[in-house]
Amino acid sequence: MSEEVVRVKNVGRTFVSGGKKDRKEFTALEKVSFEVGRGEFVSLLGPSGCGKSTLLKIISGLLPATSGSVEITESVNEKVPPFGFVFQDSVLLPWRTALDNALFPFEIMGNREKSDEKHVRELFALARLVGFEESYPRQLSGGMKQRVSIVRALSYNPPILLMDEPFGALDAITRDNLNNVLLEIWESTRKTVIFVTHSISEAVYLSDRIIVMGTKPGRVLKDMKVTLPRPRNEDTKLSPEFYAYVRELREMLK
Amino acid sequence: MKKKLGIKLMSFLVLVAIVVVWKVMVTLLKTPTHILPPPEDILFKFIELIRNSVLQKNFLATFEEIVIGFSAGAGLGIVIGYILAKVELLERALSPYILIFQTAPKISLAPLFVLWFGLGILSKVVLIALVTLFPVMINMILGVRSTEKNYYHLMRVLGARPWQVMLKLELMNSLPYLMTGLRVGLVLSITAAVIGEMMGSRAGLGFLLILGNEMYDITLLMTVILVISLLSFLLDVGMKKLQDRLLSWHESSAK
Amino acid sequence: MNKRVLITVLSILFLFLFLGIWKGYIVLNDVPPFILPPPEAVGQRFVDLIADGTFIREGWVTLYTIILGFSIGSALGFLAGYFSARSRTFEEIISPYVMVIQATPKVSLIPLFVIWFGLGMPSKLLLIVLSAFFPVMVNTILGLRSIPEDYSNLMTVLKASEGQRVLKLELPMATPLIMAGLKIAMVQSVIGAIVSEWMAGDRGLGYLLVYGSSLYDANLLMASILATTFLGLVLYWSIELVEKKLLFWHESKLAFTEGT
Repeated sequence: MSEEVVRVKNVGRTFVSGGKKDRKEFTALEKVSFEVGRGEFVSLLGPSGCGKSTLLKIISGLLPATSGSVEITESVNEKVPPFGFVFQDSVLLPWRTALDNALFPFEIMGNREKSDEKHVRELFALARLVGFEESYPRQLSGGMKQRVSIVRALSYNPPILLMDEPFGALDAITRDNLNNVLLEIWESTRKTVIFVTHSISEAVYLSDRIIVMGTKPGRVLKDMKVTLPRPRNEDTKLSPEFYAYVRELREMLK
Repeated sequence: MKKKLGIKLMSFLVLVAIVVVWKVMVTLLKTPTHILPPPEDILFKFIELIRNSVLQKNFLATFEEIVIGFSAGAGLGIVIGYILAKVELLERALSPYILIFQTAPKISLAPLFVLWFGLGILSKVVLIALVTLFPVMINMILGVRSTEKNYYHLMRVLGARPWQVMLKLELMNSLPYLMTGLRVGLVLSITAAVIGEMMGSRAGLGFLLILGNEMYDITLLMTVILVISLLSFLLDVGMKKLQDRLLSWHESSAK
Repeated sequence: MNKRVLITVLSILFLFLFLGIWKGYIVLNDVPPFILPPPEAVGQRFVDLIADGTFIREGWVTLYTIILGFSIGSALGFLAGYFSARSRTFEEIISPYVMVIQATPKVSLIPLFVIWFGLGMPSKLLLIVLSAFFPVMVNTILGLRSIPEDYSNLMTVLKASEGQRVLKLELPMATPLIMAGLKIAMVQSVIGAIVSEWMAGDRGLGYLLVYGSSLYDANLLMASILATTFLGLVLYWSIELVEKKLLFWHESKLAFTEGT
């Protein structure tokens, strides 16, 4: 494995609900540990309720962990987070055009340079969005919105990309298309990716490694390497090896 | 296109028909002018009022009250609404009073304001600000609260400062609600201005109404009512234009 | 649990704070009672006016006028809206006039009505009818237009009669917007009643308001304001109650559009 850039150590998370009398504790995550190497594409796979989204939020710092720690050794500079985040909904600001949405991070961080717009326009091309730069979100389809959202996450060139079920709300055909777009982008940028999904075939198709998670409490069931050759394409999905991975994972998650 | 034009023409013909029926009725029934003047008298009165600049003076008085009162009420409504949206405890503690004030007929305060602030512009400005405040404030609360959690997450991931969250997210997000509140507030402002002036004033369109009433001058009354209608209509259309312009990105303008 | 108690305590504290500032302002600045009477005097006057029957008598006059005018106005508004919605062309032809009249403060008509119909009931009633008519008409049209086409298609597929279409589809589907219209109409009716009693009345709570102000009796004036507030709240909340009963199935998330 190449140099480790994300270390998740014994991370646990409990949620407390109710008041003094009817206090209830719910353990979403228990002693989760794994590492991610630079340039690796890692998926967190599991059924709903296994805490995979919670884990991603903890890695990004959106949620604090109850126990354990997360270490990220990549850094750009103080103002710029070392990761881009892609949410399940596109979370585009509806009053901004696609291009202005993708440039939004620079506005918040106050570090926009002349070359940035050029970089973002290149990403638009990579995401097959050319011609839609001046469109408002309401004029874009769900798949296009999600592509803009990926471009936004990559706009400031963070070394890590965190994706929280980014294609979960899309129809099957759009989802397949976006998987291919994502692979192309990844091939040409070689970011470290942590990708949350509940789709087995999506995880196998995209990843170098799959962290399989189980429920009650959320924990790691297995850390599995996917050695399908790259670059992958639609033909990969027809190979017996692909099918073997899918079957093994399906058994495990039953 | 052709159909649209036809409808506009028909609309216009309805107006012509009303004026013609009015004229014929007045002529045939020989209605005395102090009960119902013929339509052309309204036009003559309008021209006369402009010639002796009575209309301009009183129109401007009302307009000034509305501009000042509406701006003050809307500004306060936005600020208070934002604070209440962010400080939930305060909002919930004040909510019974907000509910009562919101539904209460605030125009009954007009005589009290005349007593306190006199016949001048101040008593009307306070009344107008008060009726504008509530719809703006309540829509502001709803608008800020409608900001989805994921957007706050995005801002946090990007390391946004509190003022950036407020300006670039919350305020923009509440704009559709805010514009609705402002439109309601503007319509109420005009009502409040006219009522305030009728209650006690020295100038303004409402003042002219009272004058017309006391002198039994139907022609003056009808002319002033038409001017008030026109003012209300133009203000509402202007607000609608502004709304469409500011919200061109919003789903509601998809057509 | 704890939080709810805190909120209630805060609520009550705010009320006392308000009354305290009011009282303190009078004591510190020596404000004469004809400008601003102390809160306890207003409260006392309010109770007295209920006890001697004044508020009951005059409140009844106002209430009765509002209910009569509101009922006639909203019934006519509903019919006008229903039939306008039948023909899109007709609706488009009259729409500019409806828009102008909608935006116009109806209260400006009261001086005219007083000359035409004299002081008293007819002028008051006419103004309230007009105030209630337009919001109900406009919202009825909007409500009927808001019915998705497939629901109409469903009725056609089921071979529903015209009567069934109206009763089982159009009316229930339009009810949320019609109720919203009725709420605006009620608020406008109360305003119409108060203003018309200033100008055209010798009875009613609105008349008490001008009477108090002409006597420089701030105490009577403020007690009467309290009474109109109470009346306005009771009327508005009764409509809301009906709305809640009728619309138990509806998930209302409309932006706030009413007001006084």
